[in-house]
Amino acid sequence: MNVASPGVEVRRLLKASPEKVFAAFADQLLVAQWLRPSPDVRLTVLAFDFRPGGAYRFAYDVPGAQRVLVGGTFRSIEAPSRLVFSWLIEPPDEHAGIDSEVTVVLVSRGSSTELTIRHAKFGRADADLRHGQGWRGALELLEERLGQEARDGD
Amino acid sequence: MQSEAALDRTFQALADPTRRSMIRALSGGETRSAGELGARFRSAQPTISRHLKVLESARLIERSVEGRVHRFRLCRGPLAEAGEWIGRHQAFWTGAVDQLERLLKEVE
Repeated sequence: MNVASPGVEVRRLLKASPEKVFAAFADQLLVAQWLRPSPDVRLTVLAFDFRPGGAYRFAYDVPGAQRVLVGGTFRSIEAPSRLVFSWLIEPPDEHAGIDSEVTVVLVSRGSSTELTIRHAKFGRADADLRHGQGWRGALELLEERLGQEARDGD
Repeated sequence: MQSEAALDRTFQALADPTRRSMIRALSGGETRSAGELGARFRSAQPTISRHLKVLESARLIERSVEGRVHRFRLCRGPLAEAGEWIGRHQAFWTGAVDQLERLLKEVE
């Protein structure tokens, strides 16, 4: 776990144009080929309505484990630089029902693209804190505590 | 394993700066009385009491009563459980971006 920054954040420099990287998020056939945690997890795209307010639904089949269903809606689409979508895992998963939001930002860097994916979690009841400082502070504290715990365990 | 409602309560309880300060004040592992915790903040006693109740119902702190003194200590479990959600999604997106990088190389 990354304890240096609040929340989940993944950043990578990709050798492709922002348009090509954006297409990998926008085109259902491309999405099906990569949006999974590892090659042994199979992704089936059950729904993919790529427009603001449109819904998607993914099924993840992990060998020897229960199928995981994830769904959400596209909240903001600004090709080829920014994409925001909600992310909700369905029951019976242990993390089902927890509203969260994924923000994808693409920045052109010469012949490459800097991709940043941020994933923030919100309880269903505190969605109003989405844009506030409260949430960010909570994550910082959480990571500070977990970092300390990791050191305690050394 | 924590239920989704419990996880929501953990994150909600942590969303307030006063309650986060209380957690920090208890993070050394020692117990503190409501009065000791309250003395650190300029809020009225009922406000302090309400914050402590929120933390208690999220199971982030534990109360013990010694005579008329209520003492509180930090419970580490819920913080670690909330960390599981973060760890799982960090691993998911790191793996997914690996797959994306591979796909972009193939279609180059």
